[in-house]
Amino acid sequence: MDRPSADQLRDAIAASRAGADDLDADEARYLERVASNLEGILEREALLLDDATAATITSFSTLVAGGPPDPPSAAEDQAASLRHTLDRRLRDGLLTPTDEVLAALRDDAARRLAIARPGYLHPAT
Amino acid sequence: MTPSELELAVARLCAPAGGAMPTVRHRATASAGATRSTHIVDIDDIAAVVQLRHRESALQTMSSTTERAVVGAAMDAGVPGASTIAAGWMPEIEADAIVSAFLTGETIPRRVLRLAPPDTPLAATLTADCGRALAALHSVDDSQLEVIDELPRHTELSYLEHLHDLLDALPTAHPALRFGLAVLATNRPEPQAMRLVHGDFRNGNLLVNDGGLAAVLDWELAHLGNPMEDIAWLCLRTWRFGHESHPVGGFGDLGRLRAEYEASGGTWDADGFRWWTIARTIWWGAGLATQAASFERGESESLVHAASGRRVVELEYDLLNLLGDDHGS
Repeated sequence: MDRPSADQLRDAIAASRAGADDLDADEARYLERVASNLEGILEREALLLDDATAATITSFSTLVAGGPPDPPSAAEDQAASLRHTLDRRLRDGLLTPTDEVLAALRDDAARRLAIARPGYLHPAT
Repeated sequence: MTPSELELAVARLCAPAGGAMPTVRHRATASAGATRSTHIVDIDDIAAVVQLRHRESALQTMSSTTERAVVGAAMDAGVPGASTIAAGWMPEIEADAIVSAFLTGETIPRRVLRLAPPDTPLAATLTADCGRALAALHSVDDSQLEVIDELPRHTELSYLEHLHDLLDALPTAHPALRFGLAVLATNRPEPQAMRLVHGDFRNGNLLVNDGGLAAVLDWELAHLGNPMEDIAWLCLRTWRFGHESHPVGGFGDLGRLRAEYEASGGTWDADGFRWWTIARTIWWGAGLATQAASFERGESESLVHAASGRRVVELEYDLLNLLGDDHGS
């Protein structure tokens, strides 16, 4: 759902580790922490992403109902297309920023955050 | 660029007109990237910091001579800073340079938070120092700036347009960020007098030692605008580094910051603070998405930029919680 793709991230992690010997110790430690966090995200994506994407498609489809139908596509493409439609309608003033829209966006963000950084899942004070 | 090439370029830049060149010795490279780097040097045995922006980066940011004027105006107003020794283009190494006094302290946020943990006397001092520094900075208006024509001006309206442009340029759609813009458009605060705004006043650009705030660094995003922009940015959740209940950089509370800011002559605008908190959250979300896009396009090989794409949702989540039920529906 988020970019770059999982494959691109795996390649980037491998490339970063291959170049670690050329870095000073602090920078190498920092990049290893970033790489390790990304690996955790990719593991959670493998477990949770399909369900999260399906929930977002259901939720966003309701919000954009009445607009031009999207062509059938893979779930991830369908979610991206719905995101694009919502974005454009909000930009062009064709969709009012209501409680219903806010709730759908917040639920979507919470699902994605549960994958990307579950420890962040509580509002700041 | 070799150390000796840098030494020669710094010596030429720092030489007084018609005077002898100082002796410059390269001591260390503090950070080095493709477009910018920071070096520690001795100039006639006095330690100094050399910040270089190489050709491409130099074209995209404020010139070092403008930055020098901005830092000078801020320091004259009472903002703690590192005095500028010299600034200008170095043709020998094709870089724009600013040479400043070397000051000791911590800038890395997690080290700052280890030095001044929340709820300690030093954290309270640091928070108050930030309030005083911001009030001093925001006392500077366009009549006190020689480089006024070179600084961008941010009004709420122009900033909204800028944010829309950033989102339009992304390969990924972010309806949560766009939702925030729709709310901001209908809730603009009362216009304020334009003041000098740092543009990146946050934990990470503050040099901190055991006396508190030693210097405010990295002025290249300075501009004229609403002072609440700086205060909102300092208090974004993203700069708290896990210390959620301490909005001021993860070390301080908002009441103390506001009290010191107002006691030092600053005018607090709660509506403006809220508006700019939302606006700057959107900006950083778009910024992270832009970093991820630059990785996808092959313009960056940075793993950090690749990872930024998975961090956009943090800002979306913060934004949607900020908006809560108060979005004008």
